[in-house]
Amino acid sequence: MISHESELYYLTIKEASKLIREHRLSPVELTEAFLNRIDRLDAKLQSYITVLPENALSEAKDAESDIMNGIYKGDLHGIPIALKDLYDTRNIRTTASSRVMKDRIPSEDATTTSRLKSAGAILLGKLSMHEFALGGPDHTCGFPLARNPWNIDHGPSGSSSGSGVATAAGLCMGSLGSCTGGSIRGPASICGIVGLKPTYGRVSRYGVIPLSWTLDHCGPMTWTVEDTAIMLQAISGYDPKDPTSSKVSVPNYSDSLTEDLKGVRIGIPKHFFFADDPRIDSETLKIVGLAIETLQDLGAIIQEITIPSLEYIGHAQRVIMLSEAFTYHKRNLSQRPNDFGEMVREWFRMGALYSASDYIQSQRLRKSLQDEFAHIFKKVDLIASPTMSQPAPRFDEIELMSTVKMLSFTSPYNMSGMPAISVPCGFTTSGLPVGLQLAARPFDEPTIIRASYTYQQKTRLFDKRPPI
Amino acid sequence: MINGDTISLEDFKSIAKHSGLHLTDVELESLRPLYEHTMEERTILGNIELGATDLATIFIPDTNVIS
Repeated sequence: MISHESELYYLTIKEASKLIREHRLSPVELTEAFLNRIDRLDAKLQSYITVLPENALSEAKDAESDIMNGIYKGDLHGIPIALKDLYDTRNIRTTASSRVMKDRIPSEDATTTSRLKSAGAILLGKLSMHEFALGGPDHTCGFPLARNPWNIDHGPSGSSSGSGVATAAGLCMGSLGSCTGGSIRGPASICGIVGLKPTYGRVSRYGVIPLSWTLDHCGPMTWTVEDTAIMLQAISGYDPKDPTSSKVSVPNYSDSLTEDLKGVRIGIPKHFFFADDPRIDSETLKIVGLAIETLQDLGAIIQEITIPSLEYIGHAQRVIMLSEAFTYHKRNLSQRPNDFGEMVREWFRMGALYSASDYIQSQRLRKSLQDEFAHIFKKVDLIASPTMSQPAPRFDEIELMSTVKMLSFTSPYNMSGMPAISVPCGFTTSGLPVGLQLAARPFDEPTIIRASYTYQQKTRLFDKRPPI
Repeated sequence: MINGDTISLEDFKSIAKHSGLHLTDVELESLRPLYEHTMEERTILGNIELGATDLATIFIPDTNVIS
């Protein structure tokens, strides 16, 4: 039996599920350990907007009863997880960290919420985020701003900030984030965990508060690649309620958890991700360069590639994201502007100022980028890069114009719809995590899982936990 | 007048109004640096020569599978 609480909250989902399945760990005991830890630490980390102790314990008791009666639903049965506070939860407040929605109580679960419940997961609560999933953090939004567990003077990145922090700090076993330009991979990289943005259409977005309809993705954030495969399995698949949902069949992602990289071709667009650019941190490049050497040592074939549209795609992503966001928020921006945080209000207003020509040209560039990727993926299986151009900035240095000038390494894959993961690959000299980004062809999550699992098993960086 | 990467408050007010934003001078002053920053980006985007097949389509998963 597991007896110490500290042994519980640092278990992986896979480890805990094995113990639960073998009746060596009670879901109630596990859930209580996480609720106690949230109670102890979250005043400092601020990763939760809403904690649900009664709900969670009730669900844990149901899970325990089912399992003891021989009804076992799979790897997520009895596992405490949490959701970014833009996933609708029936009868539970869902705010998107905005005063605009501070009293909003959905009458229905998001499809992803429903699928996790069906898999037997326990919902601990709703996680803090940057307001409406846009850049931040914005001190004026009226909601808690999560702190980086590796150093609370630094930001956790966003917009899935609470998801990154809670997962890294052992305040949940896994979480869901959402991603329009890097909001899953960014906080995963900065918080030292795994974050996967699946292919556009792979995971339903029904019941998830949108930022940008053509760029938004939903995906898991976990401590290990193995756990990412488990959560992805539970939430993937066609949803008739989501018009952008794909009917492409869902493979068994656990089949890809093999340590084998022999012959996998990995392309490196050095001209963009490793450019001589003052916005790119040299220590980050060095750490990621070593990670790529490790992939080569593990059998991958590394080759330099060129994708010309990468140079401008960040501009185009911003035009599309803000134009669509303004369209969604137009009425509230006009009628109750002061309910938005100052930073988000400025961003959304900017969305009104782009022209139709700006939007159309950006969509055309997006098509050009997709064609370039299609051509490149005849030669390679994966594309590797740093996830972020910089390590976590200090919390007090983040303001609107500094976020505007940042170089995004993640948004190209929101524009292309391709799957991409961030997996931890090292630490800066000041102890802040750095992530390696791997991207693949649409619906080729299996190759991403296989490569990142192989890398993670070799480096075992998941053995190191935040000093909290 | 639009001058390099800057724009006068009067011109910016006119653009904002045309876009459906009815903002105070204080709000316009606050938003103007962000707009000015995007001016160069928009010029770059507008000058990119794209091909006849680069249409402004939206990504549709089942018809855009790269094989």
